[in-house]
Order: sequence, then structure tokens, then C-alpha cells
Amino acid sequence: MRKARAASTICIDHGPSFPFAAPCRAVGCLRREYFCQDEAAGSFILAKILRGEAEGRGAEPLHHAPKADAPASAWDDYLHNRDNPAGVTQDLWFHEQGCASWLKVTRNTVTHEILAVEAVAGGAA
Amino acid sequence: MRYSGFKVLTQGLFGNRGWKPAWRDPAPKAEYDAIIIGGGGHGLSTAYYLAKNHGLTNIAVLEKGYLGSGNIGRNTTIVRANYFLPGNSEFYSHSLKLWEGLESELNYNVMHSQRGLINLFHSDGQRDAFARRGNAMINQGDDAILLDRDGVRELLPYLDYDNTRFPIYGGLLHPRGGTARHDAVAWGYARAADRRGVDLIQNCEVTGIDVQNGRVTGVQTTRGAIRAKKVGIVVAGRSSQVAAMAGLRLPIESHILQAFVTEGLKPVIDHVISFGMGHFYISQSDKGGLVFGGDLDFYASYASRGNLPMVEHVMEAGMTLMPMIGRARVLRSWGGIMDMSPDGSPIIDRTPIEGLYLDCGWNYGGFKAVPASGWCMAHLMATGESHEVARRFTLNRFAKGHLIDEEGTGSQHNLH
Repeated sequence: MRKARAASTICIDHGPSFPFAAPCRAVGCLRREYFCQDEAAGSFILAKILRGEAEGRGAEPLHHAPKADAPASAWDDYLHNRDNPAGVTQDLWFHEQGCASWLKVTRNTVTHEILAVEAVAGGAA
Repeated sequence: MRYSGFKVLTQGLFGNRGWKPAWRDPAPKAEYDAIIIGGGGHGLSTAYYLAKNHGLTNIAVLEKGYLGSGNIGRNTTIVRANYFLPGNSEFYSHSLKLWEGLESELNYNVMHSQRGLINLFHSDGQRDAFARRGNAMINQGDDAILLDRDGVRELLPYLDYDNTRFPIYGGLLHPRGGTARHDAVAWGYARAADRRGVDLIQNCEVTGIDVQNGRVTGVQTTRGAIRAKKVGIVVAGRSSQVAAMAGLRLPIESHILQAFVTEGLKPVIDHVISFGMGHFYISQSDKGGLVFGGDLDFYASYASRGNLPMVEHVMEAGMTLMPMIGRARVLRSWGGIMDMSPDGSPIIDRTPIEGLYLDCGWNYGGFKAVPASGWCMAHLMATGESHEVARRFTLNRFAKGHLIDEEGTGSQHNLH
């Protein structure tokens, strides 16, 4: 259903000067695709969905899971509660339909500004 | 001043010089019996029912902007009671009953229009699920009619019945579902609460919540400190920030839900139509604009606007369902900040702080809940006990595993 975008597409929020820190080398994967070009809802999946997988692959966990013997309250807090900041936040994104990279994105939830994008440990799968 | 057709007529004859402001603009007092933070639909209805049902009139609603400046004026206005799970079912049923008497209750025209809501289905399995949902609705005392393909075609002849990916097998009709004029709901509750003595204080942002020895004692605001032994947080969209003032960390993540409206057209869509497989729903406002929307943008955001991928997806889904709307021009789009909870259901509960109450987590279903949310929040704040129809909307249900996951998508904020 979704189509690959032309290379000339620019980020609707930030224009061509979108600051990327971690260029993706995959064929057809443009740097600006990292966050907000086209598939924010599709090819990039917030790592909160897939964090178990990320950690299993040796990626740097942004959300530190409690130890297996931690009390139930610690697991409840980890699974359900959120700081939910209105401002700068960090989350882990997975370039699902592209180069399969895990990216740590520092962004502003109010302005949609991207402050930094880094490949997490392990890089592309 | 009581509103009536006669009043409109006589005011019209005499130059409309006799209308008065619908509510006062009081300065905050030093102390109230109860404070409601948030002057949106839920906060205003909470204040109204606190005054009306429980006789508490020394109360204030604190709003950081103007009344109704949040999601109550930024939604797609759908009113329905087609839920399946215990918890949601009785709550929304109660809400719909309140909607049906709301205009005479408030002496305000909220333009509640029970035009019928149709949820389309596209497979045998989905039909069975919808039949089951319809039976649950009927068991709850609400109405549901299972339409086959011809039944849908009779009501909605303009849909694309040749679609092979999502062939229309039929639909679940909820005749009492419909829409209402969203701003009028806020204004109606505001005026009715004001008439019962509630102070509606605008441009008054809460900057701190005072807690001593585990009890709430009042709030700090941009218009000074105000004392109160009971404080209700009713600020969906900003719940995490306000709760954080009391040291609470909530099971809420904020997400963007986009909606769209076209130029005004002659009447063409008589119902509310929901095309779940395409994440698309549509109705036509009384002004003639087609009002439609889709799914979340999926990443946590407070931007009040979304990104283009979801715009494209919604337009594609709309064209897939009803190609006739292709020539309609979209006038505007917007994004609302949704309090997403891990199970897609709301929270109306006490907090660990004595006297501090929480009404949040409305996901994208808050508009239809406005009357019952206020009713139950008022009951909670006045009596200290959860109302019967809201007793499952607890803050600790995630820890206990008593989720109310209507869509069955799992304990994840952005999946509902």
C-alpha cells in the first residue's frame, strides 16, 4: 500500500537542513528518511513496541527493564507508566521497512524538532 | 436568563440588545470547598454535577486559557454507546442517556443529532464479532441492528461495493448514535454551572499542587494561591504534566490524532460511518462540512498537529470507501493531543494523595463521555467513592491486570 518516496522529498517539518547524526547506508535509504520524511507511522516503529527485540539483539536499551526478580510494582511502572514529557525526550526507533537500523532519537515532542539521531550499539541488523 | 424560542423572537424584534453574558467572570476566592483543574467539557460537566447532584456550589473551575479551548472544541463530535466490555458498556450507556436529556437539562441547544452510526464489516469473522458486540449492546439496554450488505446499500448507496480488498459484508447500525455540536456542550455546561454558583475562572493556570502530610491543601496558580481540601485534575491532553505537580507518574502517553473537515456541501452523508479496516470514519456536520479522521500518528507528541503520512492514509481510506468525496476540498486539518492509556480506557479514580482526584486517559473517545465523566467524577469527589458505572476505571487496574482493552490490542499506549 505504501510507496517508496522520491529522493527529492524533504522533511515537512524541518526542510532540507534536517540534522542527522547517523547516516543510513542502505540502498534507497536517504538520511532524511530517518525520522519524519514519510513513514513515521509505517517504516519507523517506536521502539517501545519492540524493545524486547531490541534488547535481545544487543541494542542499547533506552528503557531499562527491571530484573526478573524485581517486585511487581517495578514491572508495573516500567510497562505502564510514562514520564511523558512535553519537551525533549528520547526514544528508540526501528527502521522496519528500510535498513533495519535501531536509532536513538532525541526530539522535542512539542515542536517535532529532531535534536540528534544516533545509531545504537550493534548498528544495522 | 432562560433561553427559549420566544426569547429569540422577542430579542430579534428589539435589536438583540437584551442578551447578557452566559456566565460571570469572577476573580478567584482564597478558598473553595473543591477545585476542578481544567475548563474543558469534562471539567465543566464535573462542576455542574457537583453543584446539581451533590449541592456543592462553593467550587471553582480553573482554566489556563478560555473555557472549552482544548479537545472539547477539537474533536469529531461523535456520540455513541456501542461498547462491548463490562466497564465501558455501562458507562457509555449511562452517558448516552444523559446526552438524550442534555438540552432540556442545560437549557442549551447542543444540537444532539441521533442520526445513527454504522460500523462496517468485511468478512464472516468480523460479522460474527459485530453480531456479538450488537448483542452486548442490546443486553446493556442500548440498540443495535445487524445489517447485511443489502441493508447497508439501502442506507449508504454511495459506498464502493466493488472493493475486493475490503468487500462490504454489512454493518452494525447503532440508531441512537450520532453527533452533537461540540463547543455548545462546553458552553452549555459552563452556563448551567455558573447559574448554580460555580466560579469559572479563566486565564488561570495551575502552576503547583500543594500537598501536606499526604493531603491536598490547595493549588498555586498564575492568579495566586487558592486553598481547597478537594482538587480534581480533569485536564486530558496535559494530565502527565499536572499530575507531576503532585509527584504522580501516570500510565498515560500523549499522542496526536488528526481530523479533517471539507468545505460545506449539501446534505449527502446522513449517518456516522466507521470503516475500521481503513482506520477511517466520517460524518457531515450541520454546516455541511464532511468531518473525518483516522488513526493516531503513533509517536508520542504534544504538537497539536500531525504529519503527512497519516493525512495521506486517511485520504486513501476515504477514497477507497466512498470515491464520491474525491472532489470535496479539505478546508482544514488539525491534531488533538490524546491522553492514551495502556488499555484504551479512561481513569476516574482517587490518587494516593488524600483529596486529590483524577479524571484522565480518555484516549480518543472523550467527547461522548463528557456527561457521564462529569457525573461520575462529581460523585467521586463528593462522596469519596467511585460511581457504580465508573468503578472499573481505576488507576491501579494495570498493576492488577484488570485491563479494559476494548480493541484487544495489548497493553500499549499507542495501539488503541
